[in-house]
Amino acid sequence: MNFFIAEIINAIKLGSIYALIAIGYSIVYSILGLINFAHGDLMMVAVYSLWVLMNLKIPFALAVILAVIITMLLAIITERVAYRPLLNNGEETLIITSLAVSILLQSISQAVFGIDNKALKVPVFFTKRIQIADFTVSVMNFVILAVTIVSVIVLAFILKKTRIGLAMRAIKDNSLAADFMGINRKAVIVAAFGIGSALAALAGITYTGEYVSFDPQMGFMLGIKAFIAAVIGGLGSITGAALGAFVLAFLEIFFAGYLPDSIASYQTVFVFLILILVLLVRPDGLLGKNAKRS
Amino acid sequence: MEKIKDKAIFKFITVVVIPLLILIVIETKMNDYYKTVVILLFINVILAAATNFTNGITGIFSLGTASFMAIGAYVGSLLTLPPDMKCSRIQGIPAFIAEIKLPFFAALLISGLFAAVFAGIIGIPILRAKGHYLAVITLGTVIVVKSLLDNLTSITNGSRGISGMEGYSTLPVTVLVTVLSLYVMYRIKTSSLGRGMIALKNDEDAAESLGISRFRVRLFSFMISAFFAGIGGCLWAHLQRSIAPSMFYLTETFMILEMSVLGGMESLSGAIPGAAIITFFPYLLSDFSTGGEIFGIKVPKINGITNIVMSVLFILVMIFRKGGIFRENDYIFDAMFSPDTYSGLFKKEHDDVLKKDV
Amino acid sequence: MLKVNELNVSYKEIRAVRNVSLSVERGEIVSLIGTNGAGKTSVLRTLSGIIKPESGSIIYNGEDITGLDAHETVKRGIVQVPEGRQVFSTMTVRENLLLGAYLVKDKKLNKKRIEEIENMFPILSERKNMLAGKLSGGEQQMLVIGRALMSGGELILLDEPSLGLAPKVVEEIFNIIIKLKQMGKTILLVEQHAQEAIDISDKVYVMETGEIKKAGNATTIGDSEDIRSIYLGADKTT
Repeated sequence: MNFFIAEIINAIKLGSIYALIAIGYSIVYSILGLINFAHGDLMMVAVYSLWVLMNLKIPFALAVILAVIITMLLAIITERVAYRPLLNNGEETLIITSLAVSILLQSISQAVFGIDNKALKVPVFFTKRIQIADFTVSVMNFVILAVTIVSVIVLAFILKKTRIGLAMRAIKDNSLAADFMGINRKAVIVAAFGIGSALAALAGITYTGEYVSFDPQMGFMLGIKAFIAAVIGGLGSITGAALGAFVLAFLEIFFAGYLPDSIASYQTVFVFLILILVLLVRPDGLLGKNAKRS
Repeated sequence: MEKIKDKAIFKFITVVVIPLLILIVIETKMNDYYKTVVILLFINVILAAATNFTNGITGIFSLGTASFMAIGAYVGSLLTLPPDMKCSRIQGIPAFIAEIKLPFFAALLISGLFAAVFAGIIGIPILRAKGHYLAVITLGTVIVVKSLLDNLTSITNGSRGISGMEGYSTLPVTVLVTVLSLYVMYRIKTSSLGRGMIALKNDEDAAESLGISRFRVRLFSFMISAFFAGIGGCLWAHLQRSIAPSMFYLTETFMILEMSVLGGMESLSGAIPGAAIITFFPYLLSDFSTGGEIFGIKVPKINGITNIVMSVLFILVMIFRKGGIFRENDYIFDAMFSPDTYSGLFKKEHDDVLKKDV
Repeated sequence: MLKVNELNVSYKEIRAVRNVSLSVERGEIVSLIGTNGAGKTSVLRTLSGIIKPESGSIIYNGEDITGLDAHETVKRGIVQVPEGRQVFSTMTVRENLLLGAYLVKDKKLNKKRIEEIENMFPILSERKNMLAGKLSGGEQQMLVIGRALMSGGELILLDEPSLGLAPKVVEEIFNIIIKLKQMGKTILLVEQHAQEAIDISDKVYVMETGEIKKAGNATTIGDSEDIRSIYLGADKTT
């Protein structure tokens, strides 16, 4: 029983992190129709930025804010330099380019920081453990969940109540009509990259805050998994991305936790089988009606 | 007046005689280090051409070539390794696998077939997916195959890999296999089936209305591509003589994609310049990646410098020359595999007479 | 108000518009009629900046706006009501109207315009919280006209407003167009219902395979024999 509850806590933690990444994926996808392979690597950028800033003795809270901003700026620069010139060149071109951007970010980070694992030391407050009934749960667990919930609320507010949010939803709904309204798509794309990368940065920081170790390639696989989560939920839908993230996290954790070791090592295989299964049975995901973009 | 580059004799010399002479010089005069690089180039040409076959010609955007290459490499290696070697190196290998020992060419063919069958099995569900979904799923096959190779230890020896294969992939063997592979792919591309593939890429609905079965043609193309990727993998294993799952992963995937895109995805010939750039480039930059001296200037060791330069180059190509070096032109193979190039050598005057009549 | 000179537009490598010149004066209804694929929609989309012309010029209120992006032309007062209505179907009626005023940052002005539009189309007020995709065709057409008015644009490009609507609703739409003119708007109308369009127009251009074949006022075009047989005759049989 204790094991079961511990697994649920783990799944919620992992699901929250997946959700942050998957939502960012979904936002960029719904505006641009781009699967940004480099999205996961933005997490890595945020973590390295934070690590450098903390080594410069900048207070933790400020360092986190700066790391998020650096990540956003970098995402916006990649959009400007690499993606914008290709907007009308077809989706393959964008996919290939995003893969190249991903490799570029990883290799620059390898060149600058080396290929070895590093450890992120968050302030002790976060690693404190709280006793709840028979369990001890670290503060970080609550922080992760809180960051995700607050991010989703802020995002919902932006999408519902602000002008740029209205424009984002309009482009996702009907991009031609959005053009007729005089919505400047380029500006909205920049906003989408900004929001998506901020979420990725938060995901990277909370992830590393919990699991400590990080390296230049940490983001790639997480990014792919988050993409799968977004597809499971229904690509382009925010709620879908969050739902898919938790579904994937629960399946993964319980797969690894309850099956014999000889099978549990096939966890990655299992994740992709889920993806294929979802695409066969419900190509638009659990919540998606029709993603509107073909 | 015929342009010089259209003359049969010119084509014959540039695409047949000169390359052949270069190869003979390399085979007889060069040391093993350079030979290995050249053999690698040829293997890369097969891999790039196989990728172009799906990605550029049929319009199936696949990132899965490295996984088919891995299957070819493992199947080929397990078939050529002597039984006692397999038993001593791979703990708990099933007897029926351990006992097989085939000649290299049989193993080569079977490794391609295995890769093709695997592609066929996974292709049935995944080829229904479109565009970006397909890109992620095929990347998934690379991840999945690596995970299988890591975990099926009684067959693959896990992450430590297999070593001790004979160096069957000599320069003459590799060149022969490469030319044959390219010939087959080129003939399929220029057949009516190949035109069906191109039609599907350009306009799916129109192609289907002409009776071209989208699913069958795509599956066939996917399997053919996997077949040659498997062949490439088997050659690769018998060049390196040591393989491990991590060799067929994301780095290799990206390298294959680079070769394919730089040379021109829509052209089989594009595989040649694409593979040449990617094969030789790391050697030019090797001083940077290990640290050392270039032109007397001390350079520090820079991790991943090859990848940095390649990915920047790659983004630039996407922006400024989307079609890669060759775009959709197949200059090299049009000349190399056209009967006119060879028959033209002997009936030159006859042609001239015909021209005068016209 | 609007002057188009020698416009050439290619779309997917096909020359869709050839040497089209036309002019629209303030307060007029000008219609562009012609068969399917004559290039009428391409003309409108070029004017609003969705597609870019190969050559030619577009002068609006004395300013050369050739090749400007859509958000620039909307800012200057050209607003298009697209063919097939193109509502934001997963958003509410009210949100659709607000999107029409995307470039208008004055909140008070937007409130005032919403009131005016809801007075003009009471149904939009009744259904303000309904998703636009759930409206009927006629209601959607009103919504997109209202949405265009929200921008405060002076020149309204109406692309096939009656397409796919029941005859009774078509009549209503034409009444609305006349009302727009009375409000002081200038209208460039593309229509399949040629007779009705000619009847309410000050000026008519007839397009065929990308070119303007005839131009004139409502009476000269309406009376001309070949136009009658090609466009109006076909209209009556359907």
